[in-house]
Amino acid sequence: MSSITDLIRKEIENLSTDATRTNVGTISTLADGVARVEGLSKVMYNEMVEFPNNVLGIALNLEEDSVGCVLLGETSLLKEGDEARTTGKLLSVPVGKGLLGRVVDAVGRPIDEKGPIDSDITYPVERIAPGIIPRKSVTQPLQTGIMAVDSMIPIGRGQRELIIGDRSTGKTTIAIDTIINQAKINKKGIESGNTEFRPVYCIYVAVGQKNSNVARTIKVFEETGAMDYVTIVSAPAADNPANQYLAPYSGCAMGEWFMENGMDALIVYDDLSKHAVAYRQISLILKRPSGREAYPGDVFYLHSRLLERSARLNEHSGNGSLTALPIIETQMGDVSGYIPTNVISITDGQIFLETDLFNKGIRPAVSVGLSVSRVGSAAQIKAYKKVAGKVKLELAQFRELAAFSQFESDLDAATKARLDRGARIVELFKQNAFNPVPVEIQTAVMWAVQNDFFDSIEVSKIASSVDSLKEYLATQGTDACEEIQKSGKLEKETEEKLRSALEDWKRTQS
Amino acid sequence: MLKATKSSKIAKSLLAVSLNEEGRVDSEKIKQILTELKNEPTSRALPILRNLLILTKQKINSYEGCLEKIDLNSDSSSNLISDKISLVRGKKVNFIIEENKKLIAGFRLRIGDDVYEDSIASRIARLKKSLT
Repeated sequence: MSSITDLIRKEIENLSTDATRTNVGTISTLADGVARVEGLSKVMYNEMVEFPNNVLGIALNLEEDSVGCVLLGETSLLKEGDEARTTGKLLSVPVGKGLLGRVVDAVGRPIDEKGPIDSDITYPVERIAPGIIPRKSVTQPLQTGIMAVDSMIPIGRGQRELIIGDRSTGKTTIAIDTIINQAKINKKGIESGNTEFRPVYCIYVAVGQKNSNVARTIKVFEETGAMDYVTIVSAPAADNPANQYLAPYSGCAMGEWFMENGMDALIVYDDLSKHAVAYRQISLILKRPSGREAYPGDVFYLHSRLLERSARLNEHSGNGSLTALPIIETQMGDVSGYIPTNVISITDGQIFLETDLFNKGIRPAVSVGLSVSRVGSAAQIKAYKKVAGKVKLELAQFRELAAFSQFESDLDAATKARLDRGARIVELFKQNAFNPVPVEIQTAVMWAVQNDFFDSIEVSKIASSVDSLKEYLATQGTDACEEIQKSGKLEKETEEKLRSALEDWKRTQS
Repeated sequence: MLKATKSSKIAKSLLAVSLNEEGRVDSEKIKQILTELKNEPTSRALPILRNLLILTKQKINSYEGCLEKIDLNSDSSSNLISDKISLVRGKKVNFIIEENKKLIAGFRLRIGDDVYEDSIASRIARLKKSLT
């Protein structure tokens, strides 16, 4: 009781008694979450504007005689003639470790009924991306735990890797798997007591999604124990377009805090197609001139300024990183659409998921030909680089030969061998959802393939054999895997240990 | 229909000619302008009139304010506020004085888009905001 009265007394003591000067305006029109305000002659671009009943807005259109504001709260509480006033502040969101394990809305307010956010630091949602000088090239791997990705399209800390594909091809699953894998690595690293271990904190931004999907994602994170390292920013389909437009920037500000304080963070934007649609809606209501597909002229800048904020900083700037995994939904596999081509050109590579592969049961349905990581093997540990270097080429050759061999009944031995190897690699890369594999086990499995341990196994039994090998390596053949994990290298001695472990496993298979 | 930029330019010129020596809007000159515009077709006159209305409002608001108080009889404070504000803005500002009991005590002055306020109501609002 006394603490409450003390708090009120303190607030009264700190309260300024000076006359205040504010800049005001009057709502002239109000429609679809956008208010046109006459007055506000001193308002700044992107400034927060205060409306009655604690409704906030952002000044997005500064015109000669009026200001267009997108509203962030309950618009039904406002009416024409209401007074709007400037705040002198840019929209800011809480940041820090207090957000981990929490679900917040686009302006950082908790929506998980777990009480207030434990953070007294705020960052503006719109910030300038790091320039050339504080940046460093991407060299540290960020393991997704997905064999098809980690072996052929490796992602590094600070990279922007687009996940693109039609609806229901497993885009979100790849992002969720990556987050789950970070949580697993974090737990293991922290338990090991290694002072040089750098955990990766994750932010999942859900834009324009169904609330049931967001709830399902949260449940997956909670069940896998990943929630302790994750912040979820949710602007679902039922939210107004202003919140959907802001959510990725808010999430990015939360990720930037980790990066600027020397830590590593991963942010997933799920998805930027819906983000562009929300921005188009706002722009059309603000009567901005529309261009291709009715998107406004600055739709490229919308995404470029967001994704440029992901970076790997050098030692002078704290050595932190923010990795971005934006998601784009294509229509009928068309990657040449307006928004897909924009985001492809901004990011450092893309993971393209094909509907046909998905329907054939090849999951994750990664298209080898259309997927690329511009960072390449620089973001792989040496051991993995050694065993996975040729896989992409082998698989691409297999796809080409497989198509060609349909017309040819008599094949030479070399072609047959390539087809056999390819078919085995395809089976090897099949992986269940929410089941990421540690990098040392991935390395061992890839080494087994390269050293013909799977050649005698029927293609239809490869998937079950791989599962049994993974289990064997995780429980019994741990020596070699531990060495790979510690050193990151595949020395001759380690290879010998691996060979002996694999021979033991092979005996259990027969 | 006249283009928006052109109608805005014409409205600006019309406002310039409707000002007196003190730089204030002269009602007689405005009346003359309105009479002249009546002869123009509506499609041409309407956008000019709309712009002229906005510009005239802005101009008048720059030298005419609205002072809200709880007691209309205390003239001394009004004069003090008028002198201070004229000093701050560098030109004489006229007030329309209105009664506003919601202020509890103090005053609220609006000149154009600027609001100067020192009232108990605003202090309570600030306290409420800091506590929530």
